[in-house]
Amino acid sequence: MFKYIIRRILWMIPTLWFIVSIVFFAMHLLPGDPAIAILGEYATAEALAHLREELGLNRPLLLQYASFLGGLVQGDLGISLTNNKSVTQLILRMLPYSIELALSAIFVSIVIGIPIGIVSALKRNKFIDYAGRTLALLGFSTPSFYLGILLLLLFSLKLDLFPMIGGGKEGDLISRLHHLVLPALSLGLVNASMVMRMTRSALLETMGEDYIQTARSKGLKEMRVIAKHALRNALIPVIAVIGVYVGVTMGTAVLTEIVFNRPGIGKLLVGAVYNRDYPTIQGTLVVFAAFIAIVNLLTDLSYGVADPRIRYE
Amino acid sequence: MVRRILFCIMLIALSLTITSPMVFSAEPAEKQELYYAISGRDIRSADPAFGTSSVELPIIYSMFDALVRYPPGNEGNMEAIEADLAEKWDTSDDGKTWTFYLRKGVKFHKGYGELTAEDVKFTFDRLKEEGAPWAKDYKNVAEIQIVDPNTVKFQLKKLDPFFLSKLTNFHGGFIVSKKARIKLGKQFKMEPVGTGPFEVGEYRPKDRYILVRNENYWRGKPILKKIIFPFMPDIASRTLAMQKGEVQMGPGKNDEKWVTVARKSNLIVDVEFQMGAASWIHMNMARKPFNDLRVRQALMYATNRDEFAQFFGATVAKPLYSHVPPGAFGALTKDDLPADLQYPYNPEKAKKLLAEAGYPKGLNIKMFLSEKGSYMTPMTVLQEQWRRVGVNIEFQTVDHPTYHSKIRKDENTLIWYNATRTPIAGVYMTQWFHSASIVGKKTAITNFSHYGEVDVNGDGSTADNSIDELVDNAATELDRDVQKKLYAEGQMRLLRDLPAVPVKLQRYVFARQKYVDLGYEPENCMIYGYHLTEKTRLLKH
Repeated sequence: MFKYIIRRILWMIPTLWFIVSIVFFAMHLLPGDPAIAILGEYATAEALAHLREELGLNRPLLLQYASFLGGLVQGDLGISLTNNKSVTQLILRMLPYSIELALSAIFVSIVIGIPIGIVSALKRNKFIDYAGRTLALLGFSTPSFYLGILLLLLFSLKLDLFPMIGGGKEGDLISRLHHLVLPALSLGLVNASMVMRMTRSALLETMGEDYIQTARSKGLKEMRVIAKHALRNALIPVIAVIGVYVGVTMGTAVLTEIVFNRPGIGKLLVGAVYNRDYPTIQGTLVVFAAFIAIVNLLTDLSYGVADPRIRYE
Repeated sequence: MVRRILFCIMLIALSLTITSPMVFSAEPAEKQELYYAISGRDIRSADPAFGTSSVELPIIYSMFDALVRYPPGNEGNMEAIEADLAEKWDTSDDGKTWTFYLRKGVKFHKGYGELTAEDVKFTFDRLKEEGAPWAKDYKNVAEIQIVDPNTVKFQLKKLDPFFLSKLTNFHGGFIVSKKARIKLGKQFKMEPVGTGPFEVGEYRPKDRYILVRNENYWRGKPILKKIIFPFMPDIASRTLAMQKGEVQMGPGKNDEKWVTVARKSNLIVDVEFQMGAASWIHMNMARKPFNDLRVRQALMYATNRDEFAQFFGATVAKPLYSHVPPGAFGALTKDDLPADLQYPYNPEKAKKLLAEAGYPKGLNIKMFLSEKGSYMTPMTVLQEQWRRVGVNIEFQTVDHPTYHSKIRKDENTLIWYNATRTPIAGVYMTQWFHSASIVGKKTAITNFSHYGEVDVNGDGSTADNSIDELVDNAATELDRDVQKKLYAEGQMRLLRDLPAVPVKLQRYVFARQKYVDLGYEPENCMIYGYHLTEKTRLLKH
């Protein structure tokens, strides 16, 4: 297992290098001038030329690439072209908000999706199953940012139960949690639909297996048959989906961050793309890619917990 | 019986909650912390030399003073210019030397010492040295002399009757600390130092900008302790936040429906208080088909300006009849124009002119267009109007900075542009229609049509195809009536030659909670937003 983990971590290095390189060259191929994005459309030609020189944008592309890789290896993600702040510092400031949002959205999707999926599977083709599937369809069809606005309208504007904007006071856990509820719900409810459907179909498939019949014929109580035998196997594909969703949620959280005016690296990345802020784009994507690689590794390792037959060498 | 009484009490209480208006005391609230939403994802620069967009201007205005100023709420009115950092000033007989006497004891933020003439000289010298966008407004300044620590003299190359307006609290006029600019270096861009009522508290990229009050402000300690500018590009969440009061003021959506809904809630919506942004569609006359006057006239007749006003709502949009927006000194209105230069909507005439020009089946035009709503939406309306006469426009959408980069490289034949400038006809005419401003030149500003250097009517001559002389003469004319006549002639010429189609005047919508007391009546404002002063406060509510 240890060797497996080390091997996976080592594989991350060429994967990240590949992603970073694609992003670097793709960004430089896009139209648009970072100098104009920084100085504005009224900047003089001289000012623009001077800035391009100062930022090294006139250097040969391969030289810029080598310089970027050199900094990356030393843990230096560079300086933002637009606000002169360290990209590492910018990311470190925003990342905790993004992680807490992604993880809480996943928590919501698990807490809501799995129980409804189980009930739906057990009460197949009954009213409760139809209701569950309809809700799942609604959830799946609703964009998270739209759901976010509806939640704001009801729970913040009308009922005044939750704040509307911001990520909460730094260092104040209660404030952070209070600001997290609605954004987590808006992202989590959409994911919960998929988790619910996955749980339902996996459980239905498992419930039809021979060993479940055997367990019942042995006289075990139905709840024990489901909880100890069926659910554990049914959860393996659900774990896979949840693992994928962690990465997807991090990537799609930008719209939620905008609607709820939360800090986050999604917003950081989108803003950097608009401004052609190459160091911030590259730095943010390195972090994203590393995060997803780690989540994939953890997801793979969790299979071993769910299914003891799985061994890693 | 008890239940019935309780139920009635509940109904009465509920009805009072719904129907009773919020009552605001004239007393200031205990917590003087104002949230002012910004519609952008981030600001580009808080340095007044480089902060040019509507997103950062409300922040900049709160941090800086100028030598002179428009009184709050009465901006753009040149007769109302009053003393600011300069207590008084005088002009030489030939109008080319302006001497300003600075107030003593005005302190910069963050302990950067007292304002002196050196800071004033540095402020304007750096505009040219650092290639700031506003440098072009001061090309006429030959030299700035420090007479003594509290006296500064501007020596002009030519007489400029509007020179005082260039030193106001607008664009390049904001005075910065020389010491801070040199010491802070690149950091000055986002954390600048001025003398205004508020100073930098904290800048959180992509999140918010925070100002704190300047305890030593020379006009008196501001009432507001803190102003937080959260960056909120999404109009839906910005609207909800303003309705709830988590954000007390900010930009709304520039359409009638939004204004109506916002006014029905507990918001004051201000629309009429600012000059608005003029919108034109410029045609590159150096290229086909726009080198043909008949094509340009056809497109003028094909543009239904009343339909634009209807589309956006009469509250927020008005038809534009001259290339200079109404409200600017020297601007012509529809009533000032002869009938043949009013170009009433006439699609049949447009088709006839296109046929005469050799395009009986119409035209196809490709152009880049900014994805920004204020460009995309009206161009979509124009696209449909011109389609009715057989002119098909195909857009390639690009982000806003890329659009501005491309149009300045002369890559478009059609250019949609929105802008607000110092409200003087000469400023608009110089920047968009003077030959020195043609894109690609060293002196380029925004003359996309190449007006002034091309043959506008196919007669083989470029004589009388320019407004350069008219604008240049008006710039040094002291007699206001003569200036107006020169500007009027220039505008008539532009309407005759049609380097651009004037389309609409767009007012921007801003809203605030009723308990926000600006400290002045917002009658005229030149910036895209509210000007926050030391008197702005929140009332008890």
